[in-house]
Amino acid sequence: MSELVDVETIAALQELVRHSESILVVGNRTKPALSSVAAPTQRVTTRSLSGIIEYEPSEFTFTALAGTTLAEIKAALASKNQYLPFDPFLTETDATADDNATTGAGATIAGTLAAGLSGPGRHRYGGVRDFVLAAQFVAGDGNLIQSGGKVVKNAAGFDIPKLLVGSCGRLGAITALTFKVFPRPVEFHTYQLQSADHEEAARLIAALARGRWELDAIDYRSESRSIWIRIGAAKAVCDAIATDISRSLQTHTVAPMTDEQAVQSWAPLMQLRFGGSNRRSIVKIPMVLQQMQRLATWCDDRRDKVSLHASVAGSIGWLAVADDTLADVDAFLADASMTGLVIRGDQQSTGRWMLGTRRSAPIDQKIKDAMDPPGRFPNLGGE
Amino acid sequence: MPSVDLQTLSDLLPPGRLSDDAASQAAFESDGLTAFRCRPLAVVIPQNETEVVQTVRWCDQHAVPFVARGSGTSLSGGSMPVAGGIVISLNRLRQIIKVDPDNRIAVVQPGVINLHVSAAAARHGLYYAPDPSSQKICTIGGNIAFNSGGAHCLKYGMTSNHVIGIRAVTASGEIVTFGGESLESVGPDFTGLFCGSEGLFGVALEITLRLLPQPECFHTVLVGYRSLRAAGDAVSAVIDSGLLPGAMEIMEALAIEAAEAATQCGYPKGAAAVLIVELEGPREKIEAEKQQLESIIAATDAFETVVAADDQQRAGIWAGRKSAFSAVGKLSPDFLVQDGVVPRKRLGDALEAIEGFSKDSGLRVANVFHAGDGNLHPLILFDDSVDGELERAEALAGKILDLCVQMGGSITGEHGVGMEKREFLPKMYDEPTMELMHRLRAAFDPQTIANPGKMFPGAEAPALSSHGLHPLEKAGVISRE
Ligand SMILES: Cc1cc2nc3c(=O)[nH]c(=O)nc-3n(C[C@H](O)[C@H](O)[C@H](O)COP(=O)(O)OP(=O)(O)OC[C@H]3O[C@@H](n4cnc5c(N)ncnc54)[C@H](O)[C@@H]3O)c2cc1C
Repeated sequence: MSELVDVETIAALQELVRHSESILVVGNRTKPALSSVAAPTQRVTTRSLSGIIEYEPSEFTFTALAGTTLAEIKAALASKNQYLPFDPFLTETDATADDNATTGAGATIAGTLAAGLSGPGRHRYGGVRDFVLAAQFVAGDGNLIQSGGKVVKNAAGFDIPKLLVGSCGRLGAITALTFKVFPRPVEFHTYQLQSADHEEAARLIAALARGRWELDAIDYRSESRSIWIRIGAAKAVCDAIATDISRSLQTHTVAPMTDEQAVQSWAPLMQLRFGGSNRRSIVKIPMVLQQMQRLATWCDDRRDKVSLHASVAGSIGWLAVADDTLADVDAFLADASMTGLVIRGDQQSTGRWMLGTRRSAPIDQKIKDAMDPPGRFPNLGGE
Repeated sequence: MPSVDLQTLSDLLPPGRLSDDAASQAAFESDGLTAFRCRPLAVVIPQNETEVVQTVRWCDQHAVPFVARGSGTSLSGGSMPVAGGIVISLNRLRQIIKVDPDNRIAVVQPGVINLHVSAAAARHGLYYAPDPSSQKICTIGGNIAFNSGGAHCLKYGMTSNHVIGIRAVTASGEIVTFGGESLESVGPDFTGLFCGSEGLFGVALEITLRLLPQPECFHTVLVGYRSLRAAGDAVSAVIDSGLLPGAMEIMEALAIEAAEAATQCGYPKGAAAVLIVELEGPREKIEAEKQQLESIIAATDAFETVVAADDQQRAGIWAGRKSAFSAVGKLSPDFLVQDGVVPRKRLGDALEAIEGFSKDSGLRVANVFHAGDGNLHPLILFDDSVDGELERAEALAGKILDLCVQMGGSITGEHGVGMEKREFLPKMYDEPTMELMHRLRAAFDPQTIANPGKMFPGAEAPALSSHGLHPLEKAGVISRE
C-alpha cells in the first residue's frame, strides 16, 4: 500500500487526483474504518490544508479549510459565544489511540462532514447536514467545485454540500466548508432519569422529546438504563425545567448531575471510547425507538462484548463492540433490516464498513459517476 | 417535437385521468409567476402512485417532457408547463399516511397541503416547522422541490432540514428510496440532494417529515423606527446579544402603509420601518429572554414599542406582516417579487442600492424582508399597460440579483431559480460547478424530460403575457412573504 501523502495546497490535491488511478482523502484518521479500502489506493491527507478562512460572528457563519481541527473551530467560536449545535465528536486529542492509523490528533471538519457524524446536540437543532452551507471540493475529474452559498439561506442550484455528508470521501475530496453556527447557551446542565427497562425508556424518551421543554439532548445508556437530559440555559432555568419534567412524569425523579459528573458521563461518548478497553470498535446505527428497544435487548445478552449508547432521542445507536463480535452485529442488523456504519474497528471478520442491510440502488452509482466521472474515488459500497 | 400518440398514455390510465382539451390546458398554463404562460399538451391527474409512475415511464419511453405540479404557487415559474409536455398534477395524492408521535415523524403523499401536516400533528403537541406564507395552499411536493422557507428559517432552517426520507420516481422511471424514518442515515445524504432539485430529478411520491414540539410560549414585539438603518441596527444588536429569535422581520414605509390600509394592524404611525421580533420556547426560558430583549430594544433608536399582550394581539401584528405583499400588490396593477439574499451586515447597503435602482428606473419598490437571515423580498411595482414598464421592471429585478451575487449572497433564498432566474445561476456558480450540476441532473434524467427549461440557462422562454396577483391572493386565501 502506498504511503500517506500530505498535500499543502489545493492545486497539489487537484494534481494528485488527476494523476491517480484510485485515491482516497483522509483527515486525521480518527475514524480509520471509513478509509479502509481493499484495492490499492493512494491515500492523501488534507490535514495540512488547515485554518479558518473567514469567520463572521454577526452572520452566524464561518469557512474553514478541510483539515482544520474541530478543536480550533470550537475555540474560535467559543471566543464569540457561538458553537456548532450538532456537537461534533472526537474533538479532543486522543491519548489512548493505539491504532497505527490514527495520529492521536482530533477530528477535522471535513472528516466530520464526510463521515456524517453528529453528536447528542443533534436533537435540538439538527445534524451536520443541517448546518453545512457550502462545500468546495475536488471532483473525480480534478476540477475544483464551489457548491452551496456562504449565506445562511440559499436555494439556488442543487444542494451538493448535503450530498457530501456521509459520502466518506467517495464523491469528492473536500477542500473547504462553510457552516452556519448559533449563539451558545450560557450554560449546559445535565440531568439523569432512571428507567426500569428498555420499554419504559422508550416511552420516557418519547414523552421527553415531545414535551414543551426544548431539551438540548436526550440520550440513553442502555447498560445502566439511565436517560441523560441536557438543557442549555442558566442553572436556575434548567432546574426549573427539570423540576417540571419530574412533576410531569410523576413517578420519575429527574436528578441533576454535578458539573464533574456531567463531564465524566459525556466525555467517553464524545471520544467514542465509552466501551472501555475491551469494546473498542464503534458502529453507528440509524434507528427509531422500536428498533432501539430491540437492539438494547440484544445487547443485554452480550454485555461484555457490546454496549449501546442511544443518542438523539433514540435516533442513533452508538455501539461499542469487541472486535470479534462485529460479524454478530452484522448478522443481527441484517435480520432486523437495520444498517450500521463501522467508524472504528478491525473489519477482518466482515471485510467492510457497512453492516446489516445495505443499499444497492442503481441511482447511487449514477450519482457517483456524475461526481467522479473517471471513477478515481473508491466505491460507495464500503467493501 | 415529434408527434406523440396521447391515446397510448390514456390507454394506460383509468378513464378521466388525462385531459387535453383547451379548458384543461388553460387551467394549468401559469403558476404564481403570472408573467409567464405556456399551454401543455395534456394534463394528467393521477389518483395514486402507480398512475404517476406509469405516466412518468410513458414520458420516458416517448421522450415527452413533463412537469410535476403541486398547487402551482411557484413564484419563479417552476411549475409552469413545458410546450408539448405533460403536466402531472399531484393534488389528489393528498393522504397523510401516518403520524408517529413517538418518533416525531409524519409520512405523507406529495399533494398534501403544508398546513395540513401541522393540523394532523397538533393533537400530539407537534407541528411541521417550515411555514411559507402560502402554507394554506402549497404542497409538500412543491416545498421539497424548492426547498421552501418562511419566517422561521434562521432558527429552524428550510424544508430540507425537515425532510428525512423520500421515495420518488426518477425521470427515467426508476423508483428510488432515500433516507427513511430515522433522523439519521448512513452513506451520502441523497435526501438532501433531492430537496431543492426543482422537479428536475423526477417526482416525489412519498415523503417522511420531521415534526417538532409546538413552542409553548411566544413573545412578540413590534418596534417602530424613524429610519430603515435604525431597524437594521436593532437586528444586529439582537444577533450580537446571543438571543436566537424564532423570527425577525422588517417592513418599510410603503409596505406598512399598504398593510395598514388592508388590515388596520395598528403599526406605529409615521414609522420609516417596523421590526417584528418573536421569541419562542418554554416559559422558563422566555421569561429570562424577554427581559434581555427589552433592554436591547430600549438601547436602540426606537420611537415606539408594542409587546403583544395576548394571542389576539400577536395575530394582529402578524396579520399586518403576512398581508404586506398582497396589500402592496393592490397598489399597482402588476408587480414582480425577488427573494435574493445578502449577508446580514450588508442589508443597509443593499436597501440603499435598491432605492437608487428604483429612482433610476422610475418604478416604486416596497421592501419587506426576513431580516434575521438577510433574505430580501423587494416588490417591484409596475403597470404592464404602459409601454416598456415590464422591461424596466425586469431590468431592475436583474440589477437586484446581480447586487446579491456581488455582495456574496444568493439569487434566491426560498423561491427557487425556476424559469425566472435561470440566466443568473451561472453568475453564482462557475463552469465546472455548472457542469457538475448538469451531470447530476443527467444521473436522474438522461433525456432532459423532467421540467426542462427551468433552473439552467439557455432554454427558450415562453411568451410573456398578463400579470397581477396569484388568483388565490386576489381571493384573499393566501398572501406572500
Ligand atoms: C402568495 C404566495 C406566498 C408565498 N410565500 C412563500 C414563502 O413564504 N416562502 C417560500 O419559500 N415560498 C413562498 N411562495 C412560493 C411557493 O408557494 C412555494 O415555492 C411552494 O413550495 C410551491 O408549492 P406548490 O405546491 O404550489 O408547488 P408548485 O408551484 O406546483 O411546484 C413548484 C415546483 O415543485 C415541483 N414539484 C411539485 N410537486 C413535486 C413532486 N411531487 N415531486 C417533484 N417535484 C415537484 C414543480 O415541478 C415545480 O418545479 C409563495 C407563493 C405565493 C403565491
